[in-house]
Amino acid sequence: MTSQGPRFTRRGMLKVLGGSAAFAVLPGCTNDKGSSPQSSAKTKPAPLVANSPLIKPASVDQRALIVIELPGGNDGLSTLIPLESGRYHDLRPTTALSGDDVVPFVDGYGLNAALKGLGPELAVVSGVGASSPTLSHFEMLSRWWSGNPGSATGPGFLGRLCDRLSPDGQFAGISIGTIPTPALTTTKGTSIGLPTAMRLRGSDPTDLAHDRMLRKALDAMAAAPPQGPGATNHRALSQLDGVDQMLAAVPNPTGQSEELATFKEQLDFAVRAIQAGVGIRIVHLNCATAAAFDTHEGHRERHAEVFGGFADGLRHLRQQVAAAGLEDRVLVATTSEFGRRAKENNGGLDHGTASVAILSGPVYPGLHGEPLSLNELDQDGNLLTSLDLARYYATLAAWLGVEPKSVLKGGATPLDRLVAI
Amino acid sequence: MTGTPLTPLEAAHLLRRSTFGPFPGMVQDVVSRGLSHEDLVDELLAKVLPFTPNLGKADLPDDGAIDIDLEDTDDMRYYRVFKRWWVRRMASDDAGLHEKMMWFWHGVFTTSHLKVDSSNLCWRQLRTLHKLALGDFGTLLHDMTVDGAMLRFLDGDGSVAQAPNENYGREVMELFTLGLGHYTQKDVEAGSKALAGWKVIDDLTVHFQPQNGLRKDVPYLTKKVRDVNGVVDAILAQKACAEHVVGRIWEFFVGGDRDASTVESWAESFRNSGYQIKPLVRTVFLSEEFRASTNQLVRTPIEWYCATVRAAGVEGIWLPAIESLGQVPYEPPNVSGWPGGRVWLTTTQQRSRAELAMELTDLEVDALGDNPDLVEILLDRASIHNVSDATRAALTQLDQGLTASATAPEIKARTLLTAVVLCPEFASA
Repeated sequence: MTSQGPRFTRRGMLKVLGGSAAFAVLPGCTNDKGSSPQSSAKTKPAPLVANSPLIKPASVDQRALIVIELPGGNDGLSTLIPLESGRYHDLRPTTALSGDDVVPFVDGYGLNAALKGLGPELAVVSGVGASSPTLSHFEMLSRWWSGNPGSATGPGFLGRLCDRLSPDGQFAGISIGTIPTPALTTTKGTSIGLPTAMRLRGSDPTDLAHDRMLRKALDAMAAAPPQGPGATNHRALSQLDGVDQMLAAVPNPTGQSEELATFKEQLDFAVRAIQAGVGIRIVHLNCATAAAFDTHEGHRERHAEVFGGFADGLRHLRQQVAAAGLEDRVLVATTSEFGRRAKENNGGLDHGTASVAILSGPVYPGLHGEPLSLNELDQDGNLLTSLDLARYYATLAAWLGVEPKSVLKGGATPLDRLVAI
Repeated sequence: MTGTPLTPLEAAHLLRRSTFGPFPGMVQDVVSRGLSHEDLVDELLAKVLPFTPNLGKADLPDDGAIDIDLEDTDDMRYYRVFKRWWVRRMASDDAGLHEKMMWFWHGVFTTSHLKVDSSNLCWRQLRTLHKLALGDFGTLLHDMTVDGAMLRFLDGDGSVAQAPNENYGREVMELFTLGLGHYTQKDVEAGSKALAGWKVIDDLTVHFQPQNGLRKDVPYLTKKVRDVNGVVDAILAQKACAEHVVGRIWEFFVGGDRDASTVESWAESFRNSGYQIKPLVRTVFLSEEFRASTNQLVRTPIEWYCATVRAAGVEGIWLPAIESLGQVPYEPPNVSGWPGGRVWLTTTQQRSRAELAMELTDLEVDALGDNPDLVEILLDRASIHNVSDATRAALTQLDQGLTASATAPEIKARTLLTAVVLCPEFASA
């Protein structure tokens, strides 16, 4: 395996010009170079980030985080698209996006058209990745789930946040998926996993005497001293009532037994769980099945499909958040284990490194970080990371009012003016 | 017959690891025949369920009850029938170590039908696993590399040497044979070139198209290769290969901390045997490490499900129930397969298991609802031979409570069964 040093670009970060700069996120005006007062003075692009956050954030104790994972490695260059870039088209003869597949975002960059209409309210972070990336799903998933360099055993990043947010051991996080995400593994048992095949009871569960007696038996078995792998079993058993109470407290509008089978149903549940005020602060979901974004072949069609699914879900989520009056409380953030190779491969894209992340909610809309450089590639032809995922995570921690150094090694600090903290 | 006869506890330990049970009566049978550990291992190694294309009669909504034969047909609806068919095999008394190894290899050479999009191809892949589960690892590696379902799953299908797809070329080394750190990105690229040229054509057969393959050798690992045979030989020539495979077997069948020198010694024998799987498995199962590894592992959902439905004595395999547990054949969560261990012992897994067990009807034990020895009978059916005081007390109290409140016998049986299959002793493997 090639070993690399840190893969940061030599250029600095794009400066966010506060105060004096014009707000340049103008849909429909992306190619209007005259719109920004800065462009004549410097060779750098016009300021690409708003001066103030879209929404004033709620108080820290009211804030929640919904993490949407794009599994398999989402291509940054199909998400945030360089406009008028010959190099982009050289690298991606059949997979470059243009015309109707792109909607304007900021000067020089468009967004995947699936995000149509959302541009003015999204913060896109470009260049995010691991500092010494590898091209292994397994390894990179571990890095993103754990939030620390090196392999992941023990609590995940989101799990550590839950443990901090919930000193008394109440559930603070929910993982919705076939198996719980390792990102939400905790030390104190402050998160639960809801399987997608789970049926949540209707609002009127039968309370049969034999059910109660069964619970009592399970509690008794849970109380016994642990032996070997059974130790975990006991803890899980003893939390059954806690889980049921938590689920019972989440309002179920239909009153019927509901499922968590589709992405939209899962998002609906996430919103209701936060709204219920039972202490849930973090929800993690996958927007598609495993490796859906791993577009080694037929990238164009496959990416359009899965990214479209993600974008539809995001749109739906934003509506639900607004309808629930939670706009100042909910931050939505994406993760993906890596981006994809700069140069296309027979209509497909191999594993890559740096990519982009999308945030929605009390954010400073616009383009943050450094655009993916198409000319400075590493020896494997991969894009260089300009923003370590640790800083991305530090920002999410700060949003929730958790001191970043209490959950991340290496002293990463939050990005300035990305999220309203 | 050789060696000391197995105790019920020892027999149960061996059967839990080598099958999807033990199922009711199995432990008693072994003990009554006075089998030793070695006898039983050899018996389990010899048990091979034949592989037939006919999946039996199935009820399909549009066609009614028809005979499904996956040899010649490829209908998306047959997926569910196919998966149910495999789990039914696992839950059968005639399944031995061979069937468990099929499941093990399926977790190594992961393949998801969601991407393969063909029940016929998945079925053919399973046939290959059936043929080679205890056979020659080199042949297994070769056949899986050019397997139609795998070609589709990891994008080898239609890959051309001029611009090869790297997906399989990477995963074959990272996950299936060598592990991280034992190859370079250059090896991934070279291997991908050498594996190019394979195609699944319309009739679902697999062909090699030489014009899309490599014409001359490329350096790969420590060899020079130009085709799948070269790639396989080069991988087998790496010391890391045997160690990686043995490591996976340890994780799956033994559990607990690995003893490095044991792994190395087993790996060396594996290599020296020409990578024969059966002798390796025999060595592992006869080892002291295996015999001492009681309670080191956790029953994964499929294992738990099979043991539960047989303990309950219900007819039929219910796919939605398996899906609710989150582990379904041909639907791995990602390319690295299913995790083992404590990951499965979450609160909601327990809840799903409890719901599933409480929904079982027509239990064989329904008729025993009023039997005063019901708890003992259920523990016996569940092959639990090391019940703790706490578990026994909890079960007894539950039995008494249910009796005192005049619960209907079937409900009593089902409730007690649920408690049994959720107890810590049943959860471990």
